[in-house]
Amino acid sequence: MYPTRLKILPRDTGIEAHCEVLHPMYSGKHSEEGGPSANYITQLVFRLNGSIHAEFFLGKFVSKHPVIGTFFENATSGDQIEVSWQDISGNQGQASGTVE
Amino acid sequence: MLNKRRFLQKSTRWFALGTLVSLLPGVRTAFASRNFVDPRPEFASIDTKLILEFYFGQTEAADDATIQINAPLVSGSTQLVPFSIIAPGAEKLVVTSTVNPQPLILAMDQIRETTAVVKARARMQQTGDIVCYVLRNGQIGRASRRIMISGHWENN
Repeated sequence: MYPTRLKILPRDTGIEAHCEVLHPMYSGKHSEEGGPSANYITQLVFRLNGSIHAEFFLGKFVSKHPVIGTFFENATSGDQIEVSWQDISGNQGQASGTVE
Repeated sequence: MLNKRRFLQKSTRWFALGTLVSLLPGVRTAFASRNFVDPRPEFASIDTKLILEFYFGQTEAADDATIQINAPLVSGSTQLVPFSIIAPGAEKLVVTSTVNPQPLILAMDQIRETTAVVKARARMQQTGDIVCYVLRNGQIGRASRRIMISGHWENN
């Protein structure tokens, strides 16, 4: 429903991964005026080769189209990085990539 | 008797005027904006101590110079304030803001690396601080960084 992109960027000391979700992150501020009801990402998980590497809990004060990034010190070439998220309405998304 | 009647008439008029004003869309929006509450208590909390108690089990925090917060000095929008945090030895990490009605922006858990790195973009309602709390060896470290929102006049 909401496109998810995962960027894997090699750095000197490891791998940096950025996840961008094209999510509106509605805070529900104008819901009683006929505006969109609250809908924002509440949880986002990075996995390295299937095991949880970092877990983020997000609130409504994270910006629209959030970009969340983290760092993998021990990732090596061929490792699989996955990211998955869930919003307050129950929508889910995921993306994955391989370290080159 | 006459004074009492006049007082009642004036009170009734002011009450009617107040009721009409409260029905105007702009005024209703101002009140409605505070209505939505996050179902998670830590995100609905307005008290930072409750947030720290929830995530770390304690509230005593000390300033920690090893936590590095990178953010622009000035941000052009309240809706897009980028920041990145580097916290060596962090087990858990909480990012809050001093100016939003509910302080908690995000929390990071299950950190597998020796150094936690977070990059994100936040909403801030006005000029204020981004404060990062980090749990390390059973103690809470704190660092903050002031970000000015351009267009907002700060009354010093």
